[in-house]
Amino acid sequence: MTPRGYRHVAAAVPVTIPYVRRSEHGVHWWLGRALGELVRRSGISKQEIDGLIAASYTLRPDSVVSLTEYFGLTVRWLEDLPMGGASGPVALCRAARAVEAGDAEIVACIAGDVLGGAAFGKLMDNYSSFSRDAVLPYGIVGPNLPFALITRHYMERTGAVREDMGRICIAQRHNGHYFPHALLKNPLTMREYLAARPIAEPLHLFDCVMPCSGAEGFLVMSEDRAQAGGLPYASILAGVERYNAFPEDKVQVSGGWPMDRDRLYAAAGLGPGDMHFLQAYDDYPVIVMFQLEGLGFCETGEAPAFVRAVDLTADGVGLPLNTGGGQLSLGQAGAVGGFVGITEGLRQVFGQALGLQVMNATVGLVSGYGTVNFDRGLCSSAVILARGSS
Amino acid sequence: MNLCLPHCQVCARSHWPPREICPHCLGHEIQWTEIESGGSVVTATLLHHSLEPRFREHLPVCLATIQLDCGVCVLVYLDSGDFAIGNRVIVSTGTGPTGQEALVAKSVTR
Repeated sequence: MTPRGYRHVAAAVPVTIPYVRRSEHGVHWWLGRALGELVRRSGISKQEIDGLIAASYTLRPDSVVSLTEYFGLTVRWLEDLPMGGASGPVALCRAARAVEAGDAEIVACIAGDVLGGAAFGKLMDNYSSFSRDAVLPYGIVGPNLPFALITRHYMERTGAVREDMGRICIAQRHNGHYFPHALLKNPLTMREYLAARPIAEPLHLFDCVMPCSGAEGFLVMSEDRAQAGGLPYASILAGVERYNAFPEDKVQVSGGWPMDRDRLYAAAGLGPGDMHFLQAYDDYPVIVMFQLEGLGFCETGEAPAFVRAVDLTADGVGLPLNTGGGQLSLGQAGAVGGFVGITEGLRQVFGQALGLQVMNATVGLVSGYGTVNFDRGLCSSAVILARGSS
Repeated sequence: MNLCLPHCQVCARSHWPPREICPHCLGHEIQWTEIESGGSVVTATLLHHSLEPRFREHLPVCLATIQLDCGVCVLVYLDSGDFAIGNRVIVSTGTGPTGQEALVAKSVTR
């Protein structure tokens, strides 16, 4: 079937509420801060927002329905996203289709979580039934365990070495050094990366994101509405989602992107070589390698060679990767990590980066990945954004 | 102890983690059935960190993904530090370091 983009739809008003390691506030405060900033910065009133889509792990027992009453919103379109790290591109695609179809005029897309300290362990206790039955009894670890197993397998299969993983972490930390809200800002050297304490071999400290609290948000509306409000916006050229791709693989060796990238690029009329940046989901560097391969920036198994050859910094001459530092620098505020690539990607195509601005960035790719139900992330997603022309 | 896995009475295939519905054929009659306990290491990690304070005294510990000879992959505690990919193991139901029930694998010496 011929893929289809999203006609006359605009993504606008990227908002990042600065993260903290230990939050004094509940998750509603974080989500509400994002919503409040969307209203304040857009000049669009709360009453005009008629669609709401949100991602949060720590909102339970409440849901996105609860948020309407909590925030005094009355909407006609609503979605609750359980896709974790894949939720940003998914939120954008779902909201864009709703606006295109006329099911909503202005959709607020928000993510918020409170996950420093003991809250992270509590989330892991009840993350999924498979995890509770067949993973948690093995060391009571959380995602470090499945990703250590995935990383070891990938390194054996491709010949990747720790320095290859380190190149991703170091380039992103370089970008994060300039991003005002990054919790980890100090430049990282290869010596420091290699000397870090082991967590779950081959993963060491700087391969792992730091749990924290935070929120992100953006608005989706018609291009006409964005132009009328004088808002910079991006068009959504294409988007894909995939769940439980390649279940027959003994260990995960890719996300779902190889199944969907041809449709993604065909809908956009562009290829990977046309992207001015890649905002890739970076819970662990091996997953960035999956995206480099699965989204066609290099061949399968060639990501280690790619990161050796290509400059990944935002102010370099190669492929700018996670230009705000990614979660490896910002910290990972639960499902908010799925939104980071969208807000950063929007700021880049607007030419309004908070940290390093990629020169002349007008089009870029944002991908998401997440939800380790048993031994692998089940969700993958991607969107191509382009600067809107007014 | 021997190894039992959920086994579909319709398509005669095993699966893991446990389900009440077969992921292969959607059959709804699942019985735990003893299976051949041999397998080989697909991937492994030496774990140095746990979220649970009472687990930390048992670290480091080796954990592995084992492909059983029936094709099903399981996560296990591995008994030895020698966890090279492809090593043969025997998997059984046993106990983990803190006494909880878990799958454990012993290396087969050749």
